[in-house]
Amino acid sequence: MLSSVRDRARVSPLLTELRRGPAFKVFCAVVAVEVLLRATGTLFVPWSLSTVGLTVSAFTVCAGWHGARERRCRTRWLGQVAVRSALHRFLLAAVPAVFWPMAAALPVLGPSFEYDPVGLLVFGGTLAQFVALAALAAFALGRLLPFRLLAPALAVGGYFLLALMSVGALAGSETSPPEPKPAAEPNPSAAEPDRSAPVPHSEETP
Amino acid sequence: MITADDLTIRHRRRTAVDGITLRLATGVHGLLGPNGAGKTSLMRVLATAAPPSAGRLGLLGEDPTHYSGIQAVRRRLGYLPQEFGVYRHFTVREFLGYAAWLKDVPGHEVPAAVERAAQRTDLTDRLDTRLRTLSGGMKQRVGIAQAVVNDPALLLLDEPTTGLDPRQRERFHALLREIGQEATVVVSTHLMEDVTGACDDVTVLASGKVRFHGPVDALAAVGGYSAVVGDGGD
Repeated sequence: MLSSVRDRARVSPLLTELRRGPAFKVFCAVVAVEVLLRATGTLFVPWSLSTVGLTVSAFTVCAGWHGARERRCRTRWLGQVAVRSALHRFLLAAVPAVFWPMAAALPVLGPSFEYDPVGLLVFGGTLAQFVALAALAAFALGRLLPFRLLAPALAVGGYFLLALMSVGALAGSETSPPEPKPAAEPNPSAAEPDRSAPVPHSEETP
Repeated sequence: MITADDLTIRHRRRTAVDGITLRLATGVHGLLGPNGAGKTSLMRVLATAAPPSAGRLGLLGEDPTHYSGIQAVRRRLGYLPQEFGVYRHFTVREFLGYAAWLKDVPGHEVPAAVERAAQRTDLTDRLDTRLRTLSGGMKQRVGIAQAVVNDPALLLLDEPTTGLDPRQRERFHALLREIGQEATVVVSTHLMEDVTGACDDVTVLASGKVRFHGPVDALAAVGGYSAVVGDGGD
């Protein structure tokens, strides 16, 4: 029974797709870097943002590269005589491009945002969705435009897009206490009401 | 079983196959012809990778011009194109498993089907080897293995012995004869050795037309391949 399950796992196309290809290697690298940074205590805020940018870029490169593999490996003939539909084949091939970024984003990158003061992608879930969608889009682009330069272009574009988003978020956030307003003439009528005084209940008002 | 009536295949303005009529039953059939004779175009249409431009075609009793017919044929089809790529980062086992999945082989049958295909092509000890590390001849055997992984009733092989050493070629001929007992096998080749070694009959194509169709011995009786092809050859 156990050997039967193992035999099926060894030829399962889903598991094959998950364990082969570049996304799994990037996942391992990201986990290793994060663990190292945490262990050495060098993980701090700028690292957190940079790590996200680099990770998204790395997975985007992988996805674009992976999406173009049919042309690169000259395996279109397999699809031309396949019983499985093009959608089936697309979804199977897209699994690692989406799964590994999410796997990396949820447990590893998510907690790193506890140090994030700017409120950008606070939740790991949001981040995972963002990375997965970026990877899926890159994979689809790789399928549609299977050129060798696509993957690097996607990486550079993705990195700068994320950098722009970060800058936008930083500009709109409060990272220090607000500047004190210039002293104005004391106005007794504008003075704050005494909060310690009892407030009449609205129902008691006739 | 393959039936083709007045089958024509055009690529834009060029006619690759010009109204041929064929009847190929169970057995091993050779397809000979010079470069540009239309062999690969015919093989692609027989493999349902491309539709015919005109004429009627029947494969395994199905009509391959309709979706249901195409799907039914592809489930029982094995195809190896002349030039083929593989996923180089897969192992042989994984690639054969993937090929079986593409052909909709039931999941519980895939491990045994992969083992059987590897055994038939002498790849049992290479099952866990990455494809990128294999030699050209080994890769060719992987191509043949993926073609037979679903025990096809229709096997189409385009130049399958390219890169095989003489011993492997002999074993391959024996494999074709074995499969040909229950399936329709079409082997497109340049090599008379493949035809004499494995085929029951031979069809000679030149300039998109059938110049000869009959037993291998009969080809010699009419003067051999060169006499049949004549000026249509290279």
